[in-house]
Amino acid sequence: MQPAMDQDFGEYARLHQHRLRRAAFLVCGDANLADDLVQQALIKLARHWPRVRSQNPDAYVRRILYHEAVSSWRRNRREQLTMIGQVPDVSTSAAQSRIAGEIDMQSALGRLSPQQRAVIVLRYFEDRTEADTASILGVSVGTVKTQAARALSKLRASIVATAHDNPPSPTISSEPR
Amino acid sequence: MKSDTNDLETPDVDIRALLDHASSTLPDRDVAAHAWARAYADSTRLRRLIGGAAAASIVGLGATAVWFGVVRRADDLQASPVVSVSSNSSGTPTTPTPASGTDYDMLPRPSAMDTLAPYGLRSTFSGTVNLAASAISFEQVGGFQPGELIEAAFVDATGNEIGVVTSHRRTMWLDTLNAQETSDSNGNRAFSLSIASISADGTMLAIDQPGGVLLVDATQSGVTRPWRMIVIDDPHIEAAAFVGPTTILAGSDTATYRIELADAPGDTDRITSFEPVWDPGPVLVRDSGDPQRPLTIQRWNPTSGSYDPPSQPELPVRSLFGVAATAADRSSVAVLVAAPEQMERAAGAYQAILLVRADGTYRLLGDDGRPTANPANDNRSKGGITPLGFTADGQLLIYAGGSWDPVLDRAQDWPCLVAWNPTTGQLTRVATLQGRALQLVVRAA
Repeated sequence: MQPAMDQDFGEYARLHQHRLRRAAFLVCGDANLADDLVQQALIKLARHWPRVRSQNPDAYVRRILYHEAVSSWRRNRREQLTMIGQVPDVSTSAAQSRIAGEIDMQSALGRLSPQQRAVIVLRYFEDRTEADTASILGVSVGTVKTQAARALSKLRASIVATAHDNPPSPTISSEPR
Repeated sequence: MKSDTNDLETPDVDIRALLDHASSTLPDRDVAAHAWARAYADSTRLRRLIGGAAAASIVGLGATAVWFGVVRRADDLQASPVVSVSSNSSGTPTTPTPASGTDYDMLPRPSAMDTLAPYGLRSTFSGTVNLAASAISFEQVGGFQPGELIEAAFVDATGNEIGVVTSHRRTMWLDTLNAQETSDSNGNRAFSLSIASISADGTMLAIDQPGGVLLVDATQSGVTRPWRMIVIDDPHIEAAAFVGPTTILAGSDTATYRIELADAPGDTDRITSFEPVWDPGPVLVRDSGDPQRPLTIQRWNPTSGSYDPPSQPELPVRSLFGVAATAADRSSVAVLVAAPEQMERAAGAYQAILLVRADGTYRLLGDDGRPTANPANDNRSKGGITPLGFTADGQLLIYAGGSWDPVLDRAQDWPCLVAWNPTTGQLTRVATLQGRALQLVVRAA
């Protein structure tokens, strides 16, 4: 018989799942895939909950989530690249994400490598430190710095290109908080 | 004020606001209850699987053995291996004591690796090593130093980040390399490094890439991109190995390419192709899939520019697990195999390293990291022991991993580098590895 859901796990998962789904969506660019990724991460967390609950479930679930998000993108990248080429810039989610200066952040993120997206999301959506980001992604702090710098440079180029058609030109703030 | 991560100037658009807005349209959904139910269902299936036959457990472990070594696919796992063991070796085996009539050495289970004596000789690796954590940025240090040679190379499990360990005892990420993932024509992922990726003189590193081979040249000191792409009209290159000072074999599932490197800058590399072989390198060890037929060994012949005809030494095993390492003088070949039946019965080992000498005699090193270990993490996956190459004093350098979960932990329990003396049978611990899992290759002595 299936055991009832652990109350602590339920509270933890319900409290954090929406933030995790949004982060996953930013990394993978697909709402359904984001839900799948978060669910997979929570499944693994549930299995290890007795061991993890007293430690650091935040770091634990994020390591699973980001690893899966990056891996998933790697597995599906051909299909995604094909889709980008066939249907440029017309998705509902992309259209919904436009804000000041017609900046399409999801489209701009799509031009980054999966690891760069993960770094950007961890640093600037989740407000994780460089050390935390490095630990979650399993890379060095130097890699985080390098990937973040390159990603921001690419984002800036994407946004400047968009802004040429939609002045005034925006720039990117990445000041640490 | 500049940020800590980039040189962008004072902003008028906040990246946090952009990210926040881009994800704000995601509707609420509760996935927690379903996750719990799935976790329970999966654990039930897992318990049923563990309750099955030991052989099934071994096959299941095979799928997880992809990372810290050179076992590329699990599809070479054959049914139980063969016949009697009648080694002519005379070394003293380590624990456990082999069965009567057999003679082989045993690598201790993962948790007992610290019982091995230190290697005691100078090595690229010694003490406790954490490659990922200690690696510095290649770009930031300005590239290779004059005279610096590549002693080892590794690939990060999270992507195609490639690093090197050099003769100047520097560990560096080649962070400007931008290597791409490779696969065969069916989409099966392959590793970026082959067992002979590093040239024997340590000056070059060959990395298989879609559409060619990326060649890192350590003699180009002081530059941050000392590499070039050797273009091959084949999108599925998935192996690249040195078989001579300036000869590389690159392989896909449709062809093998022999690359003769240009003698001087401006000259053209000469590329010819021949029939495909799996994981081309200085030596090929193959099983036929037929338990009645022996393993075959083929050595690359630099004079003829092709492989010699296969030899069939009388060996106690028929089933191959992994690709082969060979001594620089080609006198000995080491390969990961399914343990001979007698070893499996007597010692519980399901995998072993088989070392075959030029005269056809052999010696076996069984793995005591059995899949039925208690505690459960005191085991090794298929490929958890991997021959890396021979040391200058003729010992076989072996990566000996432990249990690991590539998603949850990314770091193995009790991984080590060990040296196995195939003459005496002695095992020594070269280094203890720490940190996340990496694919590692070393320069042949």
